[in-house]
Parts: sequence; C-alpha cells; structure tokens
Amino acid sequence: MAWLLCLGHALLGALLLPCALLGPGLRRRAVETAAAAGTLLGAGLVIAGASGASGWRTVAFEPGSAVPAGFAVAAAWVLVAALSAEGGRVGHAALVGVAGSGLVLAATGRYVVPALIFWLCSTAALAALAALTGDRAARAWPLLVVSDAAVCAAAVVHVVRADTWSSGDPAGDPVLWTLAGAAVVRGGAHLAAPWPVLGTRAAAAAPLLAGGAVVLAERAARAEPWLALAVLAFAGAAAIAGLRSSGVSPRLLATWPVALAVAVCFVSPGHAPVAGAAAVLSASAAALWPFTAARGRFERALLVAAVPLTAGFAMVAGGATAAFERATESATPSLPWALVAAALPAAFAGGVVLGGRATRAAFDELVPEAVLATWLLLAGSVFVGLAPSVLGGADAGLGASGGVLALNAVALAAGVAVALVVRRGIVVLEPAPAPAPAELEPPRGWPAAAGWAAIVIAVATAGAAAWLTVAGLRVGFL
Amino acid sequence: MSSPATHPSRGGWAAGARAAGALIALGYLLGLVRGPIVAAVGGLALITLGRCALASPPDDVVLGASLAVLAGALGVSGLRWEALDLGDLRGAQAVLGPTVLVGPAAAAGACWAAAAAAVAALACWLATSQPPADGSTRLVRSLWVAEGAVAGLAIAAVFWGPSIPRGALLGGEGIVALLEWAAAAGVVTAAALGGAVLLGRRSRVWRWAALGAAAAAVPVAAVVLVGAVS
Repeated sequence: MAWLLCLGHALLGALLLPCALLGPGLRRRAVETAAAAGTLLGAGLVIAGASGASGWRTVAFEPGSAVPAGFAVAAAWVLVAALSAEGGRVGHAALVGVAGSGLVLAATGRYVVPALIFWLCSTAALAALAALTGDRAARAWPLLVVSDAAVCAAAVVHVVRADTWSSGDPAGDPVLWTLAGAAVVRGGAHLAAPWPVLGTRAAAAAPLLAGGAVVLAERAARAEPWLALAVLAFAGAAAIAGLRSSGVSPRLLATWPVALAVAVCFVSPGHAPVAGAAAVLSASAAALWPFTAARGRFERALLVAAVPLTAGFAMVAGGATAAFERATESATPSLPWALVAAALPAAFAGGVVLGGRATRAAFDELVPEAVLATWLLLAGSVFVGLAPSVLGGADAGLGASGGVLALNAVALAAGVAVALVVRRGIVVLEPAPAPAPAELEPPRGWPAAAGWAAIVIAVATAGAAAWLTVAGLRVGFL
Repeated sequence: MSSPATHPSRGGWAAGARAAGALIALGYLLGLVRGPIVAAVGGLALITLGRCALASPPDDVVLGASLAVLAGALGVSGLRWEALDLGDLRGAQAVLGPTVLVGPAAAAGACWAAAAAAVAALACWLATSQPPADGSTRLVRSLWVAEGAVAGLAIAAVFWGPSIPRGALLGGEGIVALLEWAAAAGVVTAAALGGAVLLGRRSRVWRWAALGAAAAAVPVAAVVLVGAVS
C-alpha cells in the first residue's frame, strides 16, 4: 500500500492518457475520477507521514517531508478537478500525476541519487505543464532550472563532504545555503518569472511548487536565524511592492505564504508539517483566484492572512514561540533570534493586510468548481488549524489542545453565525465595498540570453546528476 | 437606500471574523484557555482582517502596521518575564506586582515605554477603523469601542496584570484584584479611544507619525530592558 502512496499519482497520469481519445464529457469524468483518487492518495500520504508509518524501499514517511508533499499533491489534484470543466485536460492531469509522484518520491527519499532524479523528473513535468499553455514567450522553465541546479549542487556537495549517499542533515553551510536558495527561487518563481500557470488551466502546478519549496527548506533541517530573516526580508519587499500598487496579484498571494513557510522552517524545522500545509493550501487558493470572480474572496483572505482558525496561524505561532525561546534561552539574549522574533509578528501583520486587500479585487471568469475548491481548501486549513498536532512535528504552542480546540470551535461557530446574521440583513453593520475589476498581468518573455543561459545550466545539471548516479552505482549505494 | 457598490450584506464575513477574533482573544486573556500572548494577538489579527476588508487603501496598511507595533510592544512584556505564556505572565505579576512597577528602574521605565507604544498603536488602529460620525448606528460605534476594549484588555493583562493571590479568586482579595485589572483595562481603552478621536480629526500624517514613534520606542524599550535585567 505504501508504494501506491508514492507511485499512484504517476499511475493515474498514465491511466489517463488513453482517455484523450474519449469525448469531452467522458474525458472530464475520467479526469475528475483520477483527481478524486489522487486527492485521496495525497491525504493518505499526509496521514502516513503524520503517524510515522513504515516506508517503502528507499522512502521513509516522516512528518516533515511526507506531510508537505502529501498536501501538495492532494491540492494539485483538487485544482485539476476544479479546472477540468472544459472537457477535461488529460495532458495537464497526466503531467500533474508525474510531477506529483516525482515530488513525493524526492521528498521522502532516503538516498540522495534517487531523490535527485525524481526531483528533476518532477521539474520536467512542471515545465512541460507550463509549456502546454501554449504561450511560447512565457515559459518559466529557466527559473526552475536555476532552482534545480542549486538542488543538484547541494546534493553533490553533501555527498562529497559527508561521504555518504543517504539523505540526512546537510553537510555544512554551503549545502544549507544552496538548499535555501533553491527553496526561495522555487517558492518565489511566481513573482520573478513570467509564470504562465496562474490564470491558466495549468494552475495545478502552484501547490506542487509551494510544497517543493517547503520540502527543500525542511531538508536543510537547521534553524538559521539569518536565513529566516533573509527570506522574511524578501517576502516583505515583495509585499510592500504589491501594496504600493492599487491591488495585489495572484502572483504575490501565491508567493507570500510560501515565503513565510520557508522562513518558519528556518526558525524551527519541526514546524515543517504545518508550514507545508499552510503554504500549499494558501498558494492553491491564490491559484484559483482568477477563476472565482467575486466569490470566495474572504475565504481566500483567511488563508493568505494566516489568522487563527487556519493552518497558517499554527505555523506563525509555532515559529514566533520558537524564535522567542531561542532568543531568551541563554543569559544574554541572542540578537539574530530576537530580530526573528520581532520580524515574524511584522510579517504576520503584513499578511493580514494582504489578505484584506485581496478581498477588494475580482476577476471576470467564474468557474463554480473553483469556488467549491476554495471552500475545500479553507476547510482543510481550518481542520489543521483547529488541531495542528494531528500533523505531527513540533507543537504549535497555542496551549492545551483540548481547550484550544474548544475555543476555536466556539469562535468559528460564532463567527459563522454573525456572518450569516449580517449577510441576511438582520443586523446592519458597516458595508464592505464591492470588489473592483482585476486583471492578470500579461506574461512576459525572457531575453534570449537568459534562455540560452538556462539551457547551459540545465545541461550542466543533468550532467552533474548523471555523474552522481554513475558514481553511486559504482560503489553500490543502493 | 444602499447602492450596489456598498450593500450592507457584503460586510458579513468581515463581521464574522471580528466576532471570532474577539472571542479568541478574550478566551486567552481571561484565562479560559491557557496559552501564549501570541494567541491573543492572533485574535486581534482576525479582528484587524475584518477591518481591513472594510477599509480602503492605505488605511488597511495603517491597520496592519498598528497591529505589528502592538504585537511588538506586547512582546516586550514577554521579554521582561522571559515567557510568552499568559499564565506565566499573570503568575509573575501576581507575585512581584505589575510589569511596569517591578524594578530595576530602567526595566520598569522600558516597560512603561512599551506600554505607551502599545496604547499609541491601539489609538492609531482605532482612529483608522473609527466609524463615521454621520450614518453609523449606535451598534456600530459600540462594536468599535468593544474591539478597542479587547485590545486594551490585552495591554493591561501583560503590563498591569491581576495580582490575584493563589486560591483567592472568589474571595475579597481576588475580586479587588479583578476590579483593579478591569480598571487598568478601562484606563488603557479610554486613553486609546481619546487618542483615536484626536487622531481622527487630523490628517493621516499624524497617525503615521504616532505609529512611527511607537515603532521606534518598542525596540529601544527592548534593548533597555535586556540591558537592565541581564
């Protein structure tokens, strides 16, 4: 059964390929059925990771790696189902399956070489998914190439310095910083790259990118305050740039929670499970934004703002508490940890503003399934937020679980009741303004030099991976 | 008659968020659930999210910045007692007295500065979310005051917390201590509301100036506090 949790997504993708010959209605049903199965497999992986179930062959189900990967693939399949309204896109779904299995096997892999190969396969599938959108000028694969080159470099240095073929704690600062860079580039690809998937039917790549970034940060497996501050500074700069304009974009909303999650992983690696859940669910909701018109705005705001009742708050609270404890554990407070403890609340407040600002814009297109998917994502986040300990990993530090659950449940019920009372006009309070029309930024192309540089980097990365594989096979690492 | 652009029902989820946030904050502050000050700040954040959904740019940025400064100022009290847990903060104050009165003098002064910064941030927050004098109902204005009171309770809890002797909650001493805490919260809230009314009558520049001063005071207070107690 464990093998199904890993390979099942690719299997679903393969089974879907013949369905391309079917009519639109049957094709859509096939895609939706596969998506439902894939979502269940992702949920199964989350459960396996949270419970520390026994692995399979070279994979191990640990909370820090399996939970973010499980959420990523489950959310990706949810987006596939939500955006399959127009006859079902078999190619997209098949590539999501391949990318999903690649991510799962890479995240849970116990050995460097297989994990690296599966990671590169996942990236290739994501790049192909972006290419299927058909806009030749908007291919964002160069950024993924840079991220994967960093991952490959980290793998080579780890193997050489630690003289081991198993994935473990990274051997030294170069590996740590390289993985951090890869995580930031992968998670922030939406901002810098003319990433075409947001606003297209290939938006299912967003949760896979988000989950992959958190997995990379968790692999670093070390609390580094300066890294956390650097990531928070990057996220803060992006947020300020977005807030200075009249509105925020799906690109910013898809990047912000990922950056926050990566920063928390560098504060407390033990919070990777809840950080992965928060990042994936928020990024997925942001990816669905262009398809929800004026609906689901506040649901999306709750996810992005990482407020109580959501997984994001468990992540922020855990990170802030961990940073404070590290800052005060010695007689002389630690300056970098004190800075992190101060920066996290500021970042948290920034997320609240972003979430509120996101309620003020709406796109034209309405796909009812996308609205349903947004509600489903929020429900998942609330489930985790009510009981964050179910994911394993470090305690969120919100207090005794029973009392917290009861308080949150009462607050949730009261909030919903008040919302319904006000929406029905029984009680009249301040009205919220109607959303303004929003438009997606047109995708930009890369300069020719950047494309050629990316090709060179991709070839070098493939060569390094091949060298590492051959070297490993020679010593019989498996 | 309301226009389509501002239909009363559109504020439903914002109101729900504010209600949920207030309940969460009160649950932690009143000790119904033991937890860190971070959780109470989370409740205030949920209220702020509801307000941001009603505010227009750049007022939402002022709300968020006020929340950030308020959170930082509350964190200074945690730095004083080296604890974030509200139960620990209450316990320390029950034994040694209110945070702002416990020596050395430099530490107490730093805590006073942080408390003042928190009140200033709350005043900016209230000024930005203040309902218009014309057209707002008594219920709307009451809810605005109530939200300020929740934040005022948080400030009072960490800087002038109740000193209830063990086992004396229902006794005379416990009731006196609770009344003292309520009075402190009332003073804080009244000060913040007064500041909000003053700031509301002036341009937005004054709010930014007050926030900037509060934001500068928080790290200075933290550094002074660390130097005084280490």
